[in-house]
Amino acid sequence: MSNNSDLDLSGFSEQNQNNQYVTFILGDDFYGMNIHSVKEVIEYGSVTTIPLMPDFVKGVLNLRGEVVPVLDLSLRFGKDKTQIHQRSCIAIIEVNHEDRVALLGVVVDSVNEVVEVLPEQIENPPSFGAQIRAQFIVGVANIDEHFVIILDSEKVLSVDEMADIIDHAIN
Amino acid sequence: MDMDEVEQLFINESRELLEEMESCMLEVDSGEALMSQHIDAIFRAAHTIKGSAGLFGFDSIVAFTHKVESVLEKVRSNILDYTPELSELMFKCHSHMGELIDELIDRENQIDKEVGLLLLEQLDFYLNDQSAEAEKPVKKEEAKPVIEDENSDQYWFIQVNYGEDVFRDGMDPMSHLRYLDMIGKVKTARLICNLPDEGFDPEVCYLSLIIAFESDVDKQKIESVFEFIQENSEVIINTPKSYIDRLSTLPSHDDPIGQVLVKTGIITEKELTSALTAHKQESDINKPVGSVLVEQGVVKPEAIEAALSTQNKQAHKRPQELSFLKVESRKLDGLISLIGEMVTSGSALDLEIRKLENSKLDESFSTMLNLIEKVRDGALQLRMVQVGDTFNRLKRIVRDVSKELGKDIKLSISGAETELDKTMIEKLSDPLMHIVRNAIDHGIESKDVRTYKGKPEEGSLELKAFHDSGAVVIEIIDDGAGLDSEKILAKAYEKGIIKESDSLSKEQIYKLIFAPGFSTAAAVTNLSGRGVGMDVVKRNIEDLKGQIDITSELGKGTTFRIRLPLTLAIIDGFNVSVGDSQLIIPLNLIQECISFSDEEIRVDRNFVNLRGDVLPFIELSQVFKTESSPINHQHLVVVKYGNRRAGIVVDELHGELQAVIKPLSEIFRSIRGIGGSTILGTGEVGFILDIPQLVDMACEHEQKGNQMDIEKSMKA
Repeated sequence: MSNNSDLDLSGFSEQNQNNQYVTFILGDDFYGMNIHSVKEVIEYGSVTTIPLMPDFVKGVLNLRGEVVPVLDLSLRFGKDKTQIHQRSCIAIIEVNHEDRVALLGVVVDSVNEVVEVLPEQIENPPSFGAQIRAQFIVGVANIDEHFVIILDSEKVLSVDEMADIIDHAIN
Repeated sequence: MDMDEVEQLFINESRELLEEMESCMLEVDSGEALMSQHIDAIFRAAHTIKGSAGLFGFDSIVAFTHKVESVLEKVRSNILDYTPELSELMFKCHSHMGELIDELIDRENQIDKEVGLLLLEQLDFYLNDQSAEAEKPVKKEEAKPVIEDENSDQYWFIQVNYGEDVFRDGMDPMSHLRYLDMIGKVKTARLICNLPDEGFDPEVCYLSLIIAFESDVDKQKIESVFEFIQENSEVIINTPKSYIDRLSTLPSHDDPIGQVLVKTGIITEKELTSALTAHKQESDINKPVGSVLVEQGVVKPEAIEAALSTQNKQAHKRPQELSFLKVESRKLDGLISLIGEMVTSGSALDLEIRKLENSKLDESFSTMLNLIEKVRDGALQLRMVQVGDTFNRLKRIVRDVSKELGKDIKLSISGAETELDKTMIEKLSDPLMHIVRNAIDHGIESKDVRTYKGKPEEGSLELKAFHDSGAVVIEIIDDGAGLDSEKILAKAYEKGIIKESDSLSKEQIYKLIFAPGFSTAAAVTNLSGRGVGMDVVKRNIEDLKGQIDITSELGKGTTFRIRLPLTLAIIDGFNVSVGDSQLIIPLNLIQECISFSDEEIRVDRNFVNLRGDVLPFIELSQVFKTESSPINHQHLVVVKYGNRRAGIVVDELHGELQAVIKPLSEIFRSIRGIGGSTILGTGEVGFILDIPQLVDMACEHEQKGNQMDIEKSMKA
């Protein structure tokens, strides 16, 4: 780990990865995402805004020569806009789209740690109360006295769905 | 998609062969060439595919292609006539072979086995039906009396004047005849005895042999028969005429005439060497080697003539016979993306170096940048391929579709050598196919209608490709019925694509045919008319950052015009900015930049007077709704594409740059006016403007405004 807030995830061995989750804080809640889908985490910075985009698209980022869209996850959940502060991070998520892997960045308040969560530890999502669309959620796990909402990255960051939202917003 | 590399190689090779086969068949079909000219190439293609398929154990391909090959073989040996029916069958077989090969790639995509079986039956018909006849000529030949004439076209003429010492050396002329019979067929052999009137010596050989010999070995081989007696005997070997014909089928190399003759077996290496030595000794240097060979009596003058014409033909063909290097496209893509990164880091370095204000450093770095630019252009050039191949594929479609509909169509192609990026060409073939099909199906009228309208019975379809200000334009022109704007409007209204109140220009009306689900064809044929296709055409072209325009005259015909950028990888751009946004305008579209004072911007006027011409302009800050900082000194960038001109109002000009195009993420697919992104020297992301889209947006914007004004005034 070269930098305080940069998280290098390459060190984890393949076998254990299925149960490894990256946890982060967004607003008041704890979230987790399978480590498979999280490519890396970088400091927030130099996001170029794109004209005419809806609010949840923060812009694009130059990730070592790749142009990666950056999204406000909180707005995507229908919650308040994420405020950018010193500890803000961008998690780069890999999503499958038509045989290819698309890279998407999401703004989070802070990235906590990588934890192991066994499948039996994950409970079904509550039928209501999470204030997030149920299909986005894989389940809820209790880690260190916190309820962590495990997200289904493929659903939350579905390329087709977001393209539709953007299409609606600008046309 | 788990495939062996070798298998992939087979597939690629087979496809190439099929393409070659097809283009040959098309030339024969259209009467451009005779079957006899192309049958070898067609046969070879089928044969090679069968052979390689056998290596991989693709039995279905082998079984099918074998039959095709057998029929072709009969055509080749003139047993079967290449009738139009057979030609039709061969086209179907060709398509089926293509399908069989495609099946290897996509195993789930099972092809219709019935088709293959049906075709095989038809092929059998040709094979069996003609087989009885096929045997006849052979029998005839057997029955023919042996040709006594040793000067016949088919036979080698060999004259051996045995030297006196032949018997003494232990040689037996009979053994030569026996050996010759092993490598061919001795048709006639005349023995001439030059017995002396007196002083007969039984140990001396007085014999000469004149042999008519049939064989397809080369001269070298025949000469070797007489190798041991050559020293004191005289051996004359004359090449049969049929060998001279061989010259025309010789694979093309740029060989000297002597080599050409040796290759076909008309002369031997030895004869050539001696002729060449004689040639060197000859006082007249300009005397051709050929005539020396004739003088020495080793070849007939007509052989030289034929060889010379072969040589000429080869010289003709030479430009196409350049050597090619097959490179995996992945490697090329890798190289180009590396060069892209080099370009980006080059411009980053450029920024830093300029800060240092070191003139020597500046100078050497600008040389470096120059080189980078050349490397970039060179690398991009590697990906360029001619559109000709795609056009050729359309030939087949035109042929098939016009046959099916019973329309006579003349297809003319120009600009086949125009080059485009390979990835673009690949994505272009589908849209072109749709347009061509539509043109034949809906555009060009049936023969009766055409005659009634006083048009030539034969419809004309033109495919054109050419360069135009940094873009490639492809035009598909038909002389058919043209588009009926009234009908289109009515249909679009009926389908709810437009509202009745919309007032549209002709061009906009034509563009309605690209709307999903739109089709004016009264009958739905199995070719087109189902309303799928044209929307796909438009989308595909837009994916390639191209535009498609239609011009049409009712009763006269329709022209589809597709404009495409040369490449999708790296462009020369001009960096401007509006507010915080860094934007890039493709350099080849820019005509000039002029300063733009604030007074000229009026709320109700969106054009300026540019040296007497009206120039409409677009304010980027308005279109993109960015907060433009109120700078007094704005700029107007004048752009031109096709025959449209427009001004783009920007805040600041930053200068030229090489923009490595990074396509925007899929989630931004509905974005308009921005064609892609690039990384600037500063590391910031810049957006590449799609000028034609931007102009379209501005037009729509204005129209909406007008519409609202009209509505307002109507209400008032």
